[in-house]
Amino acid sequence: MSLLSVKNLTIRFGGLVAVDNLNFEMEPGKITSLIGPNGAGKTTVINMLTGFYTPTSGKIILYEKDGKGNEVPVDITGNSTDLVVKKGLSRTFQNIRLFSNMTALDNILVGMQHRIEYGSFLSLFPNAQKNKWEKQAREEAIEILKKVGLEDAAYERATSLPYGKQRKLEIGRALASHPKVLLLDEPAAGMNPAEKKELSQFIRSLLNEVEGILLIEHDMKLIMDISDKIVVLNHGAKICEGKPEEVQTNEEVIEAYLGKKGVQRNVTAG
Amino acid sequence: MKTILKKHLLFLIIIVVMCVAPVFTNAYQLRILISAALAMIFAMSLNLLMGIGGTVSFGHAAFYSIGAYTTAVLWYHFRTAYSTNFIPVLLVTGLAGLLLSLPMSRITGRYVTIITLSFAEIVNLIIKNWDPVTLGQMGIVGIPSVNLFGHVLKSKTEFFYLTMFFVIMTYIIMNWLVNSKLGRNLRAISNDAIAAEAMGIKIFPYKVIVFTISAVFAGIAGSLYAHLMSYVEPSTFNSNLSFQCISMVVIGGLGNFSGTMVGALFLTILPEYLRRFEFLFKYRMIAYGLVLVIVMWINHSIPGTKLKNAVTSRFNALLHRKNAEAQEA
Repeated sequence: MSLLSVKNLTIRFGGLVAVDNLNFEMEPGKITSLIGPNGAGKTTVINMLTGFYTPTSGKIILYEKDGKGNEVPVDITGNSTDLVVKKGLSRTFQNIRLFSNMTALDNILVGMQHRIEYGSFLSLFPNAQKNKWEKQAREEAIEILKKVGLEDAAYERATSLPYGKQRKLEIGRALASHPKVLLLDEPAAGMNPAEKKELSQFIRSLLNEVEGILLIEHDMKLIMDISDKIVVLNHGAKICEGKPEEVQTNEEVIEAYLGKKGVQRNVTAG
Repeated sequence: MKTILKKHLLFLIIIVVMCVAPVFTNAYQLRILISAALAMIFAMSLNLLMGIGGTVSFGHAAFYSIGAYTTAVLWYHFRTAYSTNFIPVLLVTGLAGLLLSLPMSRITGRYVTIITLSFAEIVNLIIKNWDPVTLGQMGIVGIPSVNLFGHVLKSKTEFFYLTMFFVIMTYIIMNWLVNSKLGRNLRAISNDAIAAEAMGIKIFPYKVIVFTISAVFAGIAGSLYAHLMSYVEPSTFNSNLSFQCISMVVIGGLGNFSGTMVGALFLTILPEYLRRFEFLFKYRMIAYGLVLVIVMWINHSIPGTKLKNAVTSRFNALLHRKNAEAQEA
């Protein structure tokens, strides 16, 4: 049973190998976390999964269910972002990227745009198709706003919302495209402890909406609390993978975050 | 219903005032009103591109001139009526818009400015030098008034109401567009192209669509202009026209169509009004510039709202944090 698998994924920018031969699997109904020191290549992985970057080599495979319930592997390596969204991957950004001059409701509506199936020509004048889709989309958007607890802010501009709500709106926007896999890039960045606590429950509850979540985060408490599996990156390569308890005690991981004991001794001696 | 009325109140006021105005105006003033109405269509078309599409075009006069010349050239060579020329005007200007949108797949930011500016220059040069078709520098003289399916609009009042019809139609269509999936996605792209892409929006087709539609409306205004002046020559459609159009949009507020109409009205009437003051006459353009600066400062919707939003969001964030801390404690 697998939801998404990454096989030998590598990307080079000139001479720099940003992600080096990465392998991991995401299982359905689980939260998989990607951690690592700054510059380890975590966001680059998300950028490759969502089609912003084309990997130099390797494969990204999404497993879809056919009519009989069998798993069918679909290769989405190097697909453009709009195809990736249609196949069911949706993301948020490390630094919030909302459509700042638009209302919360409009942000959600843009998120579900690939499911609103009337063309640009029909947009130019009133017609039954447009009315039907718009009405349906609006009702659904309000539902999504309720799920993320923003139903009161539907007609407020995205920038006028407080920080925590902006984060939730961004997650709501990603949910609006009905993804199978939700990719969250540092959702807790800039939040205070109370907000983080609430967020971790919220992320858990999202598993009712999507089949799997890939989480990038720096906050270790949050990660250890909610992850089912952790993949640790350092300098673009995977150094460890496993359950939170396993990762916590791994020598290499401690080394990556805190440095070698020997090196430290040398520094103090020098 | 009430909210719809409130939303379009400014538009309704402008339309009512404009439509009643010909009763009180003389021929000269009516002509200015017609110019203002044409400027409204022209500026609204640019507002679609700038305010909704997020692309600053410094060469919008190109589409205006293409519209004017299409109808003028067709009349000159084939003696066709305005109503016959209407569809070709839409097609030719739409095609020109499509052509200009093609480089947009590769460029952003300041390069867009350069491309649009040079596009307008290229169009102007073609008009100047394509003698057999456009008669070059001489221009095309004697274009008759608008002929609608055999009915010739003899008086300027009739012409005015035709222009007002197009103003209303432009406003309505723009509003339909803005409140649809197309408009939403366009606004999303201009707000944050990367986030829009992440939502699965293919940016380039939207650029093509917005350039084409915007060009078509500018072309409609241009073709009316040719019939109003009964004369077209290349030097009318210089970059100054494009800049004036941008000022109208910016004064009215990006993405605000009724505001754009006010901007167009204001910038058409003001220079004419300033003519009266003899002592000002020499400094007319300076005074005009000064008034522009003042108006922008008072009414410029961009820095104003940005500042306001920055203050309110900062305040909200502070409040939110305080609340969260209180909850934790």
